[in-house]
Amino acid sequence: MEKSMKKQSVSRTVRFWGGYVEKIFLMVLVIGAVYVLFLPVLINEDMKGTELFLLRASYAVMMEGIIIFVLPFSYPTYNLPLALSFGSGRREAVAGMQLSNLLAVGQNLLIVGIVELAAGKMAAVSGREFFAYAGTGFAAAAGILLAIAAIGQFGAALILKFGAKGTAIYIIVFALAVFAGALTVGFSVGTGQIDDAEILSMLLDAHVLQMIKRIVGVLLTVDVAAYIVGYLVLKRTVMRYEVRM
Amino acid sequence: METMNCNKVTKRYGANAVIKDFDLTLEKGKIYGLIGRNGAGKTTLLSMMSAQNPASEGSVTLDGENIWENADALRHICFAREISPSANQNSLANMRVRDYLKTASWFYPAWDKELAEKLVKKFELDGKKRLGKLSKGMLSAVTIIVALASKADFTFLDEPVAGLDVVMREYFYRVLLEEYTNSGRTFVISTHIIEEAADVFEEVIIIKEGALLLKENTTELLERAYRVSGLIEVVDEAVKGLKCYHEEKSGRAKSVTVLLGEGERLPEGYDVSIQPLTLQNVFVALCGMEE
Repeated sequence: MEKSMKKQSVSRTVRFWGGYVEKIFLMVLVIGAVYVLFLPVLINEDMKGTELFLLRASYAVMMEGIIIFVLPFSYPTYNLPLALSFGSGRREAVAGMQLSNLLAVGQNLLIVGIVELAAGKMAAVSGREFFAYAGTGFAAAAGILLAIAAIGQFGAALILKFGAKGTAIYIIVFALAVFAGALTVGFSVGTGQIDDAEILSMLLDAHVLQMIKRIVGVLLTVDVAAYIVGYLVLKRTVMRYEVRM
Repeated sequence: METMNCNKVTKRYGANAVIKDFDLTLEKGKIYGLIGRNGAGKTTLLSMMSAQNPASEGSVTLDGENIWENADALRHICFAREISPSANQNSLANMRVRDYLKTASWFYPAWDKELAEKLVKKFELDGKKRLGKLSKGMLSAVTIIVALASKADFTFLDEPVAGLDVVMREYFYRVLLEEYTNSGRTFVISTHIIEEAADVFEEVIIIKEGALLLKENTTELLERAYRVSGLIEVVDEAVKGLKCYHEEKSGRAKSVTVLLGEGERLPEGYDVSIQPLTLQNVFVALCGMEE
């Protein structure tokens, strides 16, 4: 009896929360595909081969990454009131939100992984070079996506608790985080610190690679910690949430 | 599932208590009418009795088990809320009727798909239509379908007939009674259209300013409720010692509503007019505005 109830609860969580993410994911994938197809025309640059592929792929990944940012907006207006009004428990709903994040981050990383593999093949990079290059890119993507998911947990709690004001705060905090990230990357590119060949040679240096691994490790640890705190804050907010449909 | 109990349930929003120390017992296999004026706390009460919203104090139990975050209890309860997809709820407004019902079917373990499909046809709903494009009556129909097809042992309907035309209202009462007879489920129906639904209610629950005013068998309540009218002095004399409500004066005449207590009898030998009351009359007498 209890086992069948648990099965039922898991099944509806996967269908309702998971199905919603998949629907958005596919929608963004189609929009992203059209967008990246016309990217060379849009940016008006003469790009070919690996360079164009990577540019297209990075835009596709960015667009799919947006899903993790927008998910919290749907909680108070759709998913949560609907699930609770149909008799879902609150803990089950919080689990559903985590499943949404897991799917969004996981699928995005899957795309990153496929892109890395394809890029490696296209550039005929393999072995140690490939793992140094692609592995760091993958870990960095994981760090960024997890950071967005962590901010999203706080964002969802803010939106659920403060409505429009919470939405505004979430957007501002997120925009600041994106701005800070873009500034760092832009500054590095501008000062010539990021250059493919240079990065590759740096990555192949054991000391540099070790240092980067440590930095990524620290970043991932901070992300995980932030995510856990965000989860607890969100859970607390959901437990006190009032359904109004 | 035999009984549901509200044990000293209180709901506060800030310093304002919307529901106060509410004690209530619902028995299996009855149709209850929940009536009260706007803002009396009907929806708040039902939302706590279905664990959709938390109580500030007290508890709601199903066969002695607290229903809060209790999956075993929640699968026996359905609270079909009035849907109002506003501009702020784009996702809900964009949802198609068939998707809404499909989603409901994932959550209610005893969902009756055939009944849902039959009711969609009877209420002339277009499954492809989006909730945001439906009229108030059609939204009520969707709510009714969820409530009936859920097959939940304890089913609560909040204003189910609001916006439905008279033909559909008649159909709703018919199908509700059919479902009730066949399944022995418990229904709580909150409504403002009292007179129409009175025949359906086995028991009536009257709520006033967040407190339980009365819970009684509808027939028994009506058997002890009368309107006594005549000359002021005669009426005053006739109803002396009886519980009176809703006094209305017009010149030298007056009328009062009398609720007889146990063992009390109607006044005899006075030159007064005594009329039986409808449920709506009783409700107005108990909860209406005094002159």
